[in-house]
Amino acid sequence: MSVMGELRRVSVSVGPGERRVAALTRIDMQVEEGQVLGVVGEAGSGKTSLARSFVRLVAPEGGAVLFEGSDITTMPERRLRRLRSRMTIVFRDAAAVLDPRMTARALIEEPLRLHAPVGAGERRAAVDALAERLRLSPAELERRPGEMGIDRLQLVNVGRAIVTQPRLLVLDEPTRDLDVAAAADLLNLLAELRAGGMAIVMTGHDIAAVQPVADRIAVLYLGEIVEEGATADILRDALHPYTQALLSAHLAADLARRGRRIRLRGEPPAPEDRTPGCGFAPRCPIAENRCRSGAPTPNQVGTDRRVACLRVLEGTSRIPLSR
Amino acid sequence: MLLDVQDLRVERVADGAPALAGVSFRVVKGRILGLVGEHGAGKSLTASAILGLLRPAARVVGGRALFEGQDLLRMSDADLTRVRGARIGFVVQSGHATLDPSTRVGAQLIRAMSIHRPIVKAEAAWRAETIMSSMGIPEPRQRVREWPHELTPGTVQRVVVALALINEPQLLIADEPTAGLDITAQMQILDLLHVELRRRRIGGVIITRDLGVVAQYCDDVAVMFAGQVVEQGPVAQVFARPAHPFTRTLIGIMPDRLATGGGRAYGGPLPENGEGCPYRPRCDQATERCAMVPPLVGAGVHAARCHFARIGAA
Repeated sequence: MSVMGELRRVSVSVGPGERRVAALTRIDMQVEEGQVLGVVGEAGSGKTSLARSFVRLVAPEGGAVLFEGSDITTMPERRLRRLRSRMTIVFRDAAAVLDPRMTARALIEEPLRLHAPVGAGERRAAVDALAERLRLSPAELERRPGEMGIDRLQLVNVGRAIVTQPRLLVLDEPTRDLDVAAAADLLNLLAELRAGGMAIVMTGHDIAAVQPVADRIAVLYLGEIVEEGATADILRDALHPYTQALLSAHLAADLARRGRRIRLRGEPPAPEDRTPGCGFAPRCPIAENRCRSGAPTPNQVGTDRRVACLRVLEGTSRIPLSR
Repeated sequence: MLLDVQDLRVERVADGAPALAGVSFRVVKGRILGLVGEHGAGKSLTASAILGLLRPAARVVGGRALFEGQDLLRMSDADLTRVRGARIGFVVQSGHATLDPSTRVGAQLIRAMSIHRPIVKAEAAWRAETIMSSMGIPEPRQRVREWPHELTPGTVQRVVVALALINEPQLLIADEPTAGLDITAQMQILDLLHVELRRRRIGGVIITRDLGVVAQYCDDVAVMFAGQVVEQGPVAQVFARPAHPFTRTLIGIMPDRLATGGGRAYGGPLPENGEGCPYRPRCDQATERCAMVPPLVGAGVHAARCHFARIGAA
């Protein structure tokens, strides 16, 4: 399997002038052809910066961004433009992104018009074929964003991103505002695209949002990866205390689990309030003194997992569920 | 019976189209009902109708909403104003939209009290601090002096819950109280609501799209589809033996049941207005019988609106 998108020790800062804060710190991550990488994190965790980094919409301050093996970290915008049809990104808020004056058909067609040397007839046929796959009706194709519900609009948004048949597709919280039904449909579509060899990075604010299609899951907290591994391994045996808390916060339709969960105090701190040591220590139910001084780096655990927690190395990071 | 909604019918003013086609459910004192359904099923509209907040877009055209025996739908505006915010608390989706941006948090709590009864300023200020603290807000004495924009989203929602509870209502209606919050903050707010409703023996209606919220926090559930309640009953019974095909689908697509990847397609069109079961275009068990209005099967605590419902059957 070839690596499509890769971040190597990428650091990103956001915000103006003096109020600039670290959004991502030394992130190592990659996504292969035919693979879905799910990135999970809450507000302020850096997941949007991470999504944007993969397609080089932000220029990292440190580290390197690779696409299909080539370094695009410092590639000028003019040359990046040629790659924009092969690595695409879908943002969460379709209503804010899509031009309200254009019809759904024109919106989906636009990237072809900009990037592909094909005639109008061919473009039209491509949009029709894609619309069928997205289950957008011919009538819906003639509507404008203001005339469509958020669920349908997100399909248009995704349609724009895949009409050029990219090698790398990045989606930033694509299902957050959708109904369960529409979200399930979108996840099914991603599974199809993966089967066609596309590399996909998808973010979500909880594990349940990405878990159905993600082959691998990375959990972000305060701009750092706290755990990364195969989805099945993480679901079966989450090792980082934060991953465990996220999993237990997922409100399962399972009455047997009623009330049994790990409760975190407080809210994630803003990046500027980050304390030294492990970023999660102030909220961690099992933090020790050493966690507040030494910052753990992601360590390889077993053959296929990285976890940034001092207690993982000793096998004492699992938290019993309380009522 | 704390709240007994019977055959509530609402239509859109613009074109007379029915928006709620006979919604019925009950809230028992001290119990929490989850009102669950997809976007557009009429959940928020139901709450607005009960609270007299429909105008100008829609109007009630039939039914009753008995709150402690009094019909809220036929109450004068003046009487309704005395009930709303005092005996019925309301938590809306967007906390920031609830709070007045130009008033300090404490002053808003005091104002909410003063609307419904004469207050002594010092006592009201003390009560504002006390309720902030019982909402799990640290340093309430400082926080009452803060402005809404200075608060984190989680704290905003705690203040909104405090506003809804400060007049000690008998019923609390929470419309997607954690929409837009992060998952750990969601859990904190739902835990808080749950504890406070139990402690104060308040009846609750939690409106949600997430069946997980129902499973974890509610005693009873009413499942809405296309402007109707299609199934209602105690959570344990409905989850163990869902009688309506829509409820079965909802439970079946819960994310944790998709663990193997993929998942099955779901969703689809609503039928044109007219006779018969509204779910039939999406139902894989539909037969020609479904073109007729489905009966309410079960009539006891667990009931479903389906020709083929068998309550209690495995």
